Amino acid sequence: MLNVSQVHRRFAQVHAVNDITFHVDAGEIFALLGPNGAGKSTLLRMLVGITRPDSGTITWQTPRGPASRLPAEQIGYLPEDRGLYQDQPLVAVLEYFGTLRGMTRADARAAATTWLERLELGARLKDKVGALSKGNQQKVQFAAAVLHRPRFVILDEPFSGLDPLNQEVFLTLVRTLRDDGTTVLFSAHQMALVERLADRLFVMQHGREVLSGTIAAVREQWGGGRRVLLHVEQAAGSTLDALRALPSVAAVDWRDDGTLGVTLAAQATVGPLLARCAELFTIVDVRTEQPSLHEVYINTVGAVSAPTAAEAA
Amino acid sequence: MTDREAATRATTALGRWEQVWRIAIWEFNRFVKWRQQLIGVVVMIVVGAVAAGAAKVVKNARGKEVRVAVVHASRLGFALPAVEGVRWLPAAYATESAARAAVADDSVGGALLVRSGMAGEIVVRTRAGWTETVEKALTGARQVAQFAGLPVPDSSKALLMAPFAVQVSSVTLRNGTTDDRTRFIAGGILLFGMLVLFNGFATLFTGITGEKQQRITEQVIAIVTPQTWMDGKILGLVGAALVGTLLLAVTSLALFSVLPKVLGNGSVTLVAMPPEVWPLLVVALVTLLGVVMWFAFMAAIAATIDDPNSSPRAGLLLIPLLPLGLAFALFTRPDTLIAQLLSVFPLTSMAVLPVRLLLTTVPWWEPVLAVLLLAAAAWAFRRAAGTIFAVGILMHGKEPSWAETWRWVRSAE
Repeated sequence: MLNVSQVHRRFAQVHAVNDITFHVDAGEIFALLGPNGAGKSTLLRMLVGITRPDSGTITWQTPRGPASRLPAEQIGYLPEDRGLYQDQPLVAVLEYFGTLRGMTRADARAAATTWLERLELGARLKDKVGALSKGNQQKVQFAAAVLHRPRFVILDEPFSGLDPLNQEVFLTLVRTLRDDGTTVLFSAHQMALVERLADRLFVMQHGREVLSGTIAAVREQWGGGRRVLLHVEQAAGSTLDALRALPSVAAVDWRDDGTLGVTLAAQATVGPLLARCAELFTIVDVRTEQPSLHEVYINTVGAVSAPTAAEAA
Repeated sequence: MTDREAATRATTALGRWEQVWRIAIWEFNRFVKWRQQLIGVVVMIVVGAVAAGAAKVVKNARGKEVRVAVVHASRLGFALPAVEGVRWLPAAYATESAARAAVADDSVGGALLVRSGMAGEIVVRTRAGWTETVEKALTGARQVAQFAGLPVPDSSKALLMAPFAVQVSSVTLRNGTTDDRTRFIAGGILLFGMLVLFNGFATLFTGITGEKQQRITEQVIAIVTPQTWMDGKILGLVGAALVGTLLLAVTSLALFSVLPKVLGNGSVTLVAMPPEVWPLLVVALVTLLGVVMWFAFMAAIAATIDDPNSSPRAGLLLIPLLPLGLAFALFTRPDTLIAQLLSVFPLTSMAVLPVRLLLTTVPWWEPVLAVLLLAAAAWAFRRAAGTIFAVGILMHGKEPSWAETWRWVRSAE
């Protein structure tokens, strides 16, 4: 549905987006990750058509063939910069954005009413936007982005500033959009939510790609190996050293709650490790653990250093 | 039919001018608040009615006659003159003391105690303005009586009193229109245009920079181009200013024509349409184009502003006053070369061309050229506004310098 190829955007001496290539398939939820200043919002603005790349191509597959920009009625956008007409009623604001995207006034009003009811703001249709809390304003802005049922939605930091309950609401809304056939691309910092929501992800740092793929593949490739958690009765220092000496073990850590965390080396299997552990300890319980996306993120993004002045030039 | 199919059917690709129109309607509705406009009209009507009522009360009070007793009127040697607001009572009181007592107990407003044909005394309870009028009237009546008694033939007296006859004619002005109605209505249109400008500029800066302040910009320019947005804004804001000013003008005219009748202060007839309509049409067209051009010009300036509350550039709102000042200055010399140049120059034609059209003879090509140049200037300013807006719209916390702004406009060309 979307192909981004070798896209580059520079501001003065800063390569905000540096040779980025990826694609988004129709009907998937695609996450764009990266720390502040990684170039995510710059990239998203280029996808929406607000700015243009210095080089590279952005190609959308539309029913009428490839296009460099998706028509306004086919795309929805929730920018990072949050704001609405504070002195206008909710329904009027949504109606305006709907009609600008090609809806008739009646259809826009009907869709606005439906969305506001879905967002539990149905009783406040005629309230001024300024009378709403920040979280509720964010809901209205979300509705403005998807009101016209676009084919593709870009959500820049949709979860920021939301309490856990509203994060769950948004999670459900995004899944509903996907189930309805809308392709979703979003950026976020909340790794736990990304892990639950995204089909694939793309991580940027200093304008460059750091890693990409499905959640499972990223964990497998960048997670630093699977982990076995053993609840044991006792663990002397010497027995831990013996465990560390095993070639199938990459790391061992002892936790205060009596849990022994053993990270497997690449290609190592669990069976021989468990057999050896049974000789060394009295095992009470055994669990395996996947590395979290948060850990993957910290390990990969944290390892990328900023470009030097010479590189920037 | 699925929801998506239904939505796809409901959402159609909009053309650029359809988007401009929808933005214009939104901006218009944002700034024309009918409820507040209605309250404004009601306030005007109430204030007008109160003012007219007060005027009538004052007039009635002035119209009430003061009864003045006259004692020894025969000593004057001439008839008591008629004085507006004063009714003489020459036979009501025979003595000065009786007249003084009548004044003291407020039976009469005053008493004139005549000493001779040259002097007298006016007695009042409190100081009153009519006493000076009476003094002048008595002086005048005595002079007329003395003049009539002079041993001079009547024909000589008529010659003495005849005014000096003066006829005014002009050799510098070749009158463009001699019809006062045309001048009056054209002057009204020009005044209306100026009111639209100053009425609209109050909301223009808010209208252009509002979304930037409220961080709405990105959502809108993800849908429409900055030029489309700016075009819609200019159109909507001009419409709002026109309607707001029109409402004000119509209410004022209605008050002016209806209130005197309601209050019984006589009737006021509005000016009828003059026989020559084309000068008015030209003035109306120039005024409308001038309003659009000035809005586009000010929109371009507003597009460089980050925060209208603190920007020193807000003072540039006064720029449109310059042509107005020039127009007033040229009222006495509308047929000079400089006046002709300024009547086709886009920044001044809105104010100067109507003055020339009304006060002197204007060649046919002058209004045509003025309209064309004005339309071209409006187009150019609107393009410049769109270009500056496109670059400055995502800048926060800093206003671009004039040099930067000029570079943006040049680069767009």
